[in-house]
Amino acid sequence: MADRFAGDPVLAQALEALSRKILDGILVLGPGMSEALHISAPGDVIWSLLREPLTVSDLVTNLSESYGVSSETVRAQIQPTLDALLDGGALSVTPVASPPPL
Amino acid sequence: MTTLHVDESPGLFAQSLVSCWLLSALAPTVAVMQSSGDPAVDAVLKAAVGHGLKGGASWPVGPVTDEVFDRLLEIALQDRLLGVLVEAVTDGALELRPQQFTQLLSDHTRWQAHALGLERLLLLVADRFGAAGIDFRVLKGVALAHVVYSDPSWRVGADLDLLIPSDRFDDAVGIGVNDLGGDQALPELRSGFDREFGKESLVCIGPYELDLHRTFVTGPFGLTIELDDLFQAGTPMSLGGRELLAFGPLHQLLHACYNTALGDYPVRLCSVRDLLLCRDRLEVDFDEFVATAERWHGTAVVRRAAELVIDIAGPDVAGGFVELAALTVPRREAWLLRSYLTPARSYSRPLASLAVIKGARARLRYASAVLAPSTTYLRSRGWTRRSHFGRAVRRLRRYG
Repeated sequence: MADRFAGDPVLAQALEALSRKILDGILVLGPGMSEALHISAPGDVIWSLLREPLTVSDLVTNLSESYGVSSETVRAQIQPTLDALLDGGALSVTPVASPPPL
Repeated sequence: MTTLHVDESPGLFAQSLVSCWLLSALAPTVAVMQSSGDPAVDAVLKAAVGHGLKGGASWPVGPVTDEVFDRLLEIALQDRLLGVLVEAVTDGALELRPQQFTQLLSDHTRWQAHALGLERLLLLVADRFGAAGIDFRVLKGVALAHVVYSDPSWRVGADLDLLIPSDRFDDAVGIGVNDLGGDQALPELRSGFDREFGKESLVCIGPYELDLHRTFVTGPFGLTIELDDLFQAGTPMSLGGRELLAFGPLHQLLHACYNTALGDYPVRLCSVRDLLLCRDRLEVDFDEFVATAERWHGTAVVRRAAELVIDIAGPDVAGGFVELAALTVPRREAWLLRSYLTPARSYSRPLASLAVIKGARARLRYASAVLAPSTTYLRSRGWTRRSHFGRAVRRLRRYG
């Protein structure tokens, strides 16, 4: 399956997404979701970090440093959550603009 | 203090009907608060109502027994205090056993999923109302969660409540029913009754209940509020990338008083907490507040709300309400208040309403609708005109 976040795009919470803190994580309801997505702690940190726009690599670096886990491991572990958020319309993805030709 | 009169010249018909139940002032009234029957549970509930507020009661040291917890959870669900328990656990004020934690987590998660569904419905309704040019204000649970509570997940609510201007009330109900595929849970007494005299119309949309309110409460106190004022200002609340409006601080506090005093019988504990938080977190000028309550002929309502808060939360946490509980209530308002506190209130409130409706024709329209509702209304309740009338007379004789 193609990497949906190739090119290191900027991610952020979609404006239309709704969320609620719960005791063991967070519930997110995107416009395309039929029911709320439950992200358990510590995965809910992803959602908190994406309150501000972040590139995928910045997100991975942040989590890798916070939890002392390799970037490859973090990337693999957050992928399903990012996919679910994107599928449900809870994530905005902005490609990074290419540099102008020389 | 100026003594206000609700209506200086109510018709003789209205006067005589109202006096039927006013004269028997010894009728039984509804209890202020339902006790759990267990002092340990009552103590935890009291701590929950005043949690995080100066003078709030202490939480128990260590986890409560499973028996106390089960009863506590049952009342917290019924009285919408579940979010406060989560807040207290988060703050470290309430200690739970692992199984108790799991139960609270499960119930709270279910309610929060429901809250998100309500908010999604709110965005949809806001789009439709916006397109139709219908102004509205977000009320009660959803508004309080975002405007007054520190975290929206600490206030749970079952329905979506919106206040609609009277002249657009029918349009709003029409959008709920026709555009959003809702079912009107209960037809109005007679065509046009809700937009002129009604409190609300309930529209069920899928698993959600959309409560479209015209005024704060049913009965006479809902008919003396200056409704146009409520749409003059508002507090912005941001949701799903949209800016919506809840009441401004003055009206939010007044609404919390009406809801505490007259919303449920017995009062729901979350209404008391809402009111305490409104007092604590909203900037409202005391004199303006009292003057507005007087203008709305709602001094009795404010005073009853203050008495309930003091009684339930305790005087230590209820600072500011002591002065409100000492307000002088005009005699007419005290009479009107009694119509809400009898078990026959379904009938005594309409009778009392006749005393505040201005104009003989309006009073006649109201009385006709109450005495002889439409066949659609009666059928929806499984009544006939005769059984409706007989039931009213029996209940008024018994309690009124």
